[in-house]
Amino acid sequence: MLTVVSPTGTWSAEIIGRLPRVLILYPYDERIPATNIAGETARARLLEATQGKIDLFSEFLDLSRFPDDVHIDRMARYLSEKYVEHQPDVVVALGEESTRFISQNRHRIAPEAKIVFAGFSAETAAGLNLPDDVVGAFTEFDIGKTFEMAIRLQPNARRLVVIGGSSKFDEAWIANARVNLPAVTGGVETTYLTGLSIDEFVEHAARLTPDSILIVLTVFVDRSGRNFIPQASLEMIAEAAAAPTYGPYSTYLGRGVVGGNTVTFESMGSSVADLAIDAIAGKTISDVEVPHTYVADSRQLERWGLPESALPAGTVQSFEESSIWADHWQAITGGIGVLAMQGLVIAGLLIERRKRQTAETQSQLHLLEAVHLNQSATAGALSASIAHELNQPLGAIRSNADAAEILLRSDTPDLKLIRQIVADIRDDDQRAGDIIMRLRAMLRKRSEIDWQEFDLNEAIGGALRILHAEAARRRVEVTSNYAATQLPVRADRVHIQQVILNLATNAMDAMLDVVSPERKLVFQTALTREAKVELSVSDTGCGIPGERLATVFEPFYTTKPTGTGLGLAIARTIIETYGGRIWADNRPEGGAVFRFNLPLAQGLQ
Amino acid sequence: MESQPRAVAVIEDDASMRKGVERLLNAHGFPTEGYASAETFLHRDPENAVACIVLDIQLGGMSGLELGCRLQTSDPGLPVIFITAVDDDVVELEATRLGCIAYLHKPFPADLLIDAIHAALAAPSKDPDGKLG
Repeated sequence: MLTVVSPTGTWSAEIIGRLPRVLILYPYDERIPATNIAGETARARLLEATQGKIDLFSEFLDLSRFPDDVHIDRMARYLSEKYVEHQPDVVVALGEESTRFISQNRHRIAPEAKIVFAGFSAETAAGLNLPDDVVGAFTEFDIGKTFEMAIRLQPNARRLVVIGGSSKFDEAWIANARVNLPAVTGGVETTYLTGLSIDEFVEHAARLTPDSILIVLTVFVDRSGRNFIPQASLEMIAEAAAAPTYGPYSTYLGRGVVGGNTVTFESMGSSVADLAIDAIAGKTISDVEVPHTYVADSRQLERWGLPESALPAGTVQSFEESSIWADHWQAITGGIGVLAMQGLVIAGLLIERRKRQTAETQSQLHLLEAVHLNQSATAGALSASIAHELNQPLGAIRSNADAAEILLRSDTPDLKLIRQIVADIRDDDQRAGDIIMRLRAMLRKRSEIDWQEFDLNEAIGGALRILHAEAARRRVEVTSNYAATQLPVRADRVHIQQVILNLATNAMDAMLDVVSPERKLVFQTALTREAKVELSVSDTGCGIPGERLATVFEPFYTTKPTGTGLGLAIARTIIETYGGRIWADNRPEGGAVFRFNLPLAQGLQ
Repeated sequence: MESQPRAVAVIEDDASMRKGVERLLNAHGFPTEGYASAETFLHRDPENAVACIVLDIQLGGMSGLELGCRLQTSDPGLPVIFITAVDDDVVELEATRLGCIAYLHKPFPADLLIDAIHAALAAPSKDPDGKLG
């Protein structure tokens, strides 16, 4: 019910005898630079356009820390009471969460208000099923324009390399680039580098020729599962790159990129403010796209000898003199790793993740401590077989060296034989080194979980190599039947191997009283119909008394005089940490079988 | 009188260790025969008479101790030198009870093995002519 008519196009602020009211909704708290920059720019634009004749209200919804329905309902109730006498004429929703919130609760808070939004793409908006009269300034990236900037600066470039990480977001970016780049790249040969570890990205970048163009999209996660703030991964790659690097984010400036085409928080804020101004003026408004900005880093231009004159018209240069970027990029990058593309959403996710991490850190530390104790106990239990394994190559080295010494005393030493001896000494030294490396990998104390995707069959193979000497010493026959396919799981490999070692030593202990030819330990893996990866470890011991089947995984349950009673409890904690289940049964033919399953990792399917 | 000394059998399942011990013995002038297991030693060509054996304790299949036990009845007086990569007092005690010439922990210095071989070949029931030239 806006009655303002503005025939001359100049602003008229008289809405039924009062100032127009605009409520700006911030999705998070008041400390997030991304939404603050967008909101502040919007405020400034509104004040400027109305010459200050406007009532501005701000609300920080804190939906990242309080995403639950109870908070949303409480917030809606609070705002409806607070604004009952001050009904806003326009609500500016920043980010996806604010937009969803106000669309769902407008009837309570501001039933007559126009709603305008900014901070996400048309595709995201389609997923929100917004009412028709809710209108926004979309953030759409155009990676083709980043390439166009690059090719203007490097007209002789022969090769384009595009890097993207392994997260869903990273992959969506790569898919976007594959669709949109071919239209502009012409004869430039294009390579997409994906599915690599950060070290491999860095290595590839370092090997580029200077006549190449490198575009880094985002690397949130690399192949090994390491998480990054994209600015940080970009910085590692750009630092090593032997060719000029470009990227589609203003937050990449100062981190080694020459520049790119991007959507800034400022233009996001002023675009949505323009929509609000038109709405107050009673004009029909429809969706718009936030204009793009070319940004460049003059120091990088200098570093690569690229001509400033070739920059697209209107490019904002930083590190040149005081510019909006020089003033703001540190504010943007300093607070939290926020990206322009759906930067609001991502900021929320990061906060959410950090919050969850803090909560998880404590229990994770306990787990890591327990696993480390367990590792040390295992190493102690296996020390005899470790010594045996090491003494073999050491013994061979000693005998070979002593033999060579004798041979060298001869007037006509058999040089051919001596050369063979030296080669064998080197091989045995390698063998001893490998054993120690394997052990160190097994025993390394971790400060955090090292998430990796790996084949369970392979991990079992690694654990068996550590175990085989101990099994031989105890005269236990070990067999393994692996599923024919790879069994990818996502976990800390060392932790899963520790579970395997615990189950195996437990089984070997259970067979102490069995005559040696009957001591059999069988590993079997399978992929179940429920898309779980399963390992069973069967022994030919005396089995587990029925009433104890349920309690064997309890801490301090032990039947062994030397056992800590923690091996199986830790095994269960580890398996449950990675979303699996562990249980024990007796085999009909005698002996026990321990099984665990883990979710099949998606990536390798 | 440098009559051809009879061979020393090296029974060791670790190929690299076996090769090293054989080379060491060869360098000191002792011919050797290598066997990867107790079983292959027992099934060797009966023509291959050996003067003494260097026997690893941990073998795949029949263990060195088991073979030592059998030889006590089938070939009493054949000198045995045990070598092992494992520290185990019980095993050592048992090996000593079998009457071995020496019990060596890998890695061992050449002198210990060579002295033991000399002692074995000098043992009364054996040809005393294994002396080195």
